[in-house]
Amino acid sequence: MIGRGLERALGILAVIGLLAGLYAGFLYAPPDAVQGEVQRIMYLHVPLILVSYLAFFVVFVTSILYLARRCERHDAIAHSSAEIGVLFTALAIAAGSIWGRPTWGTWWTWDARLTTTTILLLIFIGYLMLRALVDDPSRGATFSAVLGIIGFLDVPIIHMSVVWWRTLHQPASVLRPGPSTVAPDMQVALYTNLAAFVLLYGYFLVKRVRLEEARWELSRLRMEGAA
Amino acid sequence: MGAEPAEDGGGGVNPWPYILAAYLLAAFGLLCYLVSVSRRTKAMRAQVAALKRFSKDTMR
Repeated sequence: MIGRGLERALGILAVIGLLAGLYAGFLYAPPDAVQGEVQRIMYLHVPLILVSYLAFFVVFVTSILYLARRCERHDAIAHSSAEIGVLFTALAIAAGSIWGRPTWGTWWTWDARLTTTTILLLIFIGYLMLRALVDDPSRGATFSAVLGIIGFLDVPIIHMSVVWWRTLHQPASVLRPGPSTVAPDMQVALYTNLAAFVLLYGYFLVKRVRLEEARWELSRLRMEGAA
Repeated sequence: MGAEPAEDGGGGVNPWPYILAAYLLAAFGLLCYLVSVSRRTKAMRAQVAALKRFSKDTMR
């Protein structure tokens, strides 16, 4: 696993990235021609949701690996990544809701993109509850691996929701075929923030997996003590 | 000719309370999570250390 030095370096890089992202989002990027200053919430909202997709993709891959190989480390990474994904999705929904009030005139609407994203959040809250409720850790890991794989299938539905249904939410401007619809100066700010949030995700993941390692050691000692 | 972008997006609403609310909420959420993970890890390690001490004492 990743050493302490690398963990610290990841944390420092994430902080530097976030500071650079704030500079790029608030001082380097110009205000939007249509929305004005409030569009600066995009530099928070978009990286948060894209990194939550990444987190759930990690859950998807490590859950498949866990079911195939029954390796505890894959399960620990899936569990940790799901928890971080829930945090990032909840914050992305909250930031989007705050952005929606001055631009759409409402905090919330049952738009296809918003609804499918809320379903994703609920699926992975269910995933975390399932892990907490099943007494046998091995059975809990198996059930949640299946749920993690099924849950990830909502991500492409979220992405395509703005194409398949008529929505209030704007179409994809980053993960889309063809050139980006975002202005070059705004792209710099957006990608700086995206890189910073990817680093932050990596840092959180390493720290969260360490918690799982401590949990394994505790259960191993308890088993030895009981034997 | 491009017009100056509207500070408020043309809606007559001051955007800064919304921008600040979004960023502060995210910062608070991320910080709380970091503190939560650190505290849970610390508590788990303390239990591991206590159990190791206990098993060493009982071995004597």
